[in-house]
Amino acid sequence: MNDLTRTQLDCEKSLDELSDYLSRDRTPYDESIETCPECLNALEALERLGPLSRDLLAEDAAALPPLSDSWIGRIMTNIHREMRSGRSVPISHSDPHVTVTVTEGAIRALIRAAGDAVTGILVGRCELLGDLDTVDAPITVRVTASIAWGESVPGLADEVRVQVYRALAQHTQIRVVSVDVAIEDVHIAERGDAPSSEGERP
Amino acid sequence: MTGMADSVGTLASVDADELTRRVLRVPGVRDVYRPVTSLTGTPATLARWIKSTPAKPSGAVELNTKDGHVSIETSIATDRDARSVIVAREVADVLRGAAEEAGHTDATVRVQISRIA
Amino acid sequence: MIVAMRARTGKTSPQSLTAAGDVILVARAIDGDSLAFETLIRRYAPIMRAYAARIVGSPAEADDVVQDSFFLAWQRLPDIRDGAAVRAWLMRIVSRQAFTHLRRRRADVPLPLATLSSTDSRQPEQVAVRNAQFSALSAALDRLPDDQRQCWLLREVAELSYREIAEELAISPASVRGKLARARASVGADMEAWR
Repeated sequence: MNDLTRTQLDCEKSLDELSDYLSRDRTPYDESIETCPECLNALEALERLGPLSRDLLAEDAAALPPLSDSWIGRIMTNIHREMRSGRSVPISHSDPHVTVTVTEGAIRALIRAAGDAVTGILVGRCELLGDLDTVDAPITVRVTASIAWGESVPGLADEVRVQVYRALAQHTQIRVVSVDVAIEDVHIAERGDAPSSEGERP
Repeated sequence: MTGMADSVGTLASVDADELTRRVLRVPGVRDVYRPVTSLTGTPATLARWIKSTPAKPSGAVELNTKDGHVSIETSIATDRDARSVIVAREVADVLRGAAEEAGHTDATVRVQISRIA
Repeated sequence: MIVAMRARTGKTSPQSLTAAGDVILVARAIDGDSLAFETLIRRYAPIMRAYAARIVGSPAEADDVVQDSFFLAWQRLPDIRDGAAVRAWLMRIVSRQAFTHLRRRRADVPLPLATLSSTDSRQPEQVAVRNAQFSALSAALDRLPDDQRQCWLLREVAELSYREIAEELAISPASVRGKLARARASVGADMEAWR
């Protein structure tokens, strides 16, 4: 492909051979390469090309004009057209001519907001397990969350549970039998979003 | 909103826009959307910007008449500080009331809460 | 009327989500949280734009490619297996989109490769050396045949495994290894020439 790549080093090895050797993670061990200073230098130079490429792209990224809000806005507009609202969860009404429902998407957003309102918590996934189509069917809520570094896991998980119960009781008719909170990740609290207890930062 | 023909989108005395305004007046309702099965509609307030239609809630309440039977459908955003179940039921009552007012006593009403904000 | 009680604490904002890890953001986005997705966009759009620009040559076209990539990503998000790997997953999408764009454009008119970056105005000497290195690398990458450049970027910038690249390009892992070795040798030779 490239004549230069067949160029031999003084030790008679070519860049092609050395690159190939690198691609095989330097196995099987090749003594003629591993003991030749010229080859070792070339290997090192070749190995640097990966990190250098990453740096180059980082440099490219930094040199590009900043993202405009309208650019992001256009993506968001398209996304909103494709919103996933999930199942329709019934709300009872005395009038048989009336059907009232709340979307699963709205309920998930409500749960996220309730959990996020607990300082030091960011909710991840939330699932509603059970027969959502039937009023009064027992439902289990399963929530994953990230906790701010240094916060007490059991304390905040309990608080999330309380807030989620409260929000669902306030806005839906779902009979929640349990709220399971799994802390899956740790994050560094934002400045101004100081954790409620002591010893926040690493 | 009177004097319009009694056809799709119009009850005898109210049209979809008037119904939308009534829904927006229910305490705890933050916005009204066009009902979309499986998709969330565009908020009435936003739809105005996007489509640059006249500045009125562009019939986010949908009125359908089929074989003389009237069905009314809408999707709402409720306020986080309200009680959504009660708000949504009240919206349904308002719509049922409007239908009855117009003589459609067997009109069906569907209200969906698509956002609690 | 009901606006009075708006001052609740801990309302989620884009700022508070920037602290969240990828796993959390992906989980939320799958659940339909557009704010979480926007946070992912802000986190990864810069490197994706640079990546796409490397392939299509023009920053403006790269922006279009990245926009399409994010739209696609939103649709495919529920398929993602590991939220922690969202960066590589996004890079894969942008790579695919960029090369598709390139092929489509080449069917029309060839566009000269735009000169990216190297407009650095920091410490003169050190930067000069580094810039020379970067422009040599940049030129070397531009000279690579498409398939090698694609493999190289997927491996070294998107940081995909051989297996993932093979899967992505529908070729064998051995062939991926071969292309990477050739790419590295060519770039190495070019860089050597610059020295």
